Amino acid sequence: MTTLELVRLNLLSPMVLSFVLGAVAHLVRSDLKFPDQVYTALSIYLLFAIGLKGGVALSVAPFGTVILALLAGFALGTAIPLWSFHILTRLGKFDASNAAAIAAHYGSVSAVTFIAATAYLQSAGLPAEGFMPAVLAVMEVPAIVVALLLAKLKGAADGDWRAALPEVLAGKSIVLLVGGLAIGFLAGPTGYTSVAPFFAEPFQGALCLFLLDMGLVAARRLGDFKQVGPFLIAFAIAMPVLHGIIGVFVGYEIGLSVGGATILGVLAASASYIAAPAAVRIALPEANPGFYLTASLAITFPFNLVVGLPLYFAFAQMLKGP
Amino acid sequence: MTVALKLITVVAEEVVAPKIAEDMMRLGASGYTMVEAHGQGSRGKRMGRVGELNLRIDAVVSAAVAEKIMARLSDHYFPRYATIAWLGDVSVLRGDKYV
Repeated sequence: MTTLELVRLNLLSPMVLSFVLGAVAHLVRSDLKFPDQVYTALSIYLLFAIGLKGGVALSVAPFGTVILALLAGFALGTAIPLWSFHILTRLGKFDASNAAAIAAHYGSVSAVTFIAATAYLQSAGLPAEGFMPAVLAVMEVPAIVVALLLAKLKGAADGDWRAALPEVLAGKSIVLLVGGLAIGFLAGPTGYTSVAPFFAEPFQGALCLFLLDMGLVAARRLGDFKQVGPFLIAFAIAMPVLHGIIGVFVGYEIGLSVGGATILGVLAASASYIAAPAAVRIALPEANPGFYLTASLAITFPFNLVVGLPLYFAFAQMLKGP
Repeated sequence: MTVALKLITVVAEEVVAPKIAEDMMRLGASGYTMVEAHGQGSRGKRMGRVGELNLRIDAVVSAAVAEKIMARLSDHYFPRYATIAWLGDVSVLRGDKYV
């Protein structure tokens, strides 16, 4: 497939179109609105489903490849907040708490971006290694810890930062992902077939509904754009591209498939907006959510969904050669 | 038959509301009711979802406990988190339940 076809495949996917519909609904002031409980139920379903599926794949995957991928994910998650923090303080002139808060979001990962990427790769005919949800789980926490430590070193962590860590580790996304991975791993492919009709078949439909809601939520943040400023807008687009390219390259070097390398790129490029905001809000209350949430939710997430996915995929294909 | 007590109501962002409720219990409240809340204020619109949900906590307490809770809110939560609180006079049956 040519790059143009890949872009078209992505733009006209039901997922991206659902996201756009959500944004349009907000802009035309529609009364369309998801009840909070539906949003919560959908996110539980999606996280648990990818955990289960990843666990099953983990049970049959070669040990060496899995370990390498996990280490690569961990290394990326630890390194990204380091340079992000310095770029934000030196070039962006952010204070330590805001820089640490934003760095935590960009080092940590977005499960929804990951899920959308997995679906995209499937439709492009080059699916990633099945165990990649384990890498997603490994990349969620380290960046938040590193960023909070940076803030602490600069004397900026004013909040209850000892309470923030249990918040992330026992947060629902980690419990569902790691728990799902464990259950999938123990149950194996045979056990999974009994629950597959519920967790595999309706998955992409549920994802569409979730992205429709994400479109509504992201569009609500568009009003905060003025507050964000040109530097952070540029940061929220340039850093995902840089991290995506690094991630794809690392994935290629450790021997992942084109799909797997793309996913590692997507994970590196994505910015958290569920686990990181909760932890940051507790540990760094003086950091402004108008910066970190708007950047990750209203800029980086749509960028990755629409432009990033085909871009990282094209780069992974280029590395592998024809 | 009724007893005069204070109703303290706190509206706080989702991440800290459970901690405020814990503090209220520690400072002498005998119970509380917590519900999800949407609204708008000086810290923007809160319409649910990511980083946007508020919780509202109601508790009936003695005047002394209400003072302690207000003091705790003033020095720990108001400066850092999107939090508002108010006190009202209420009359309740079974007053000994609350003190």
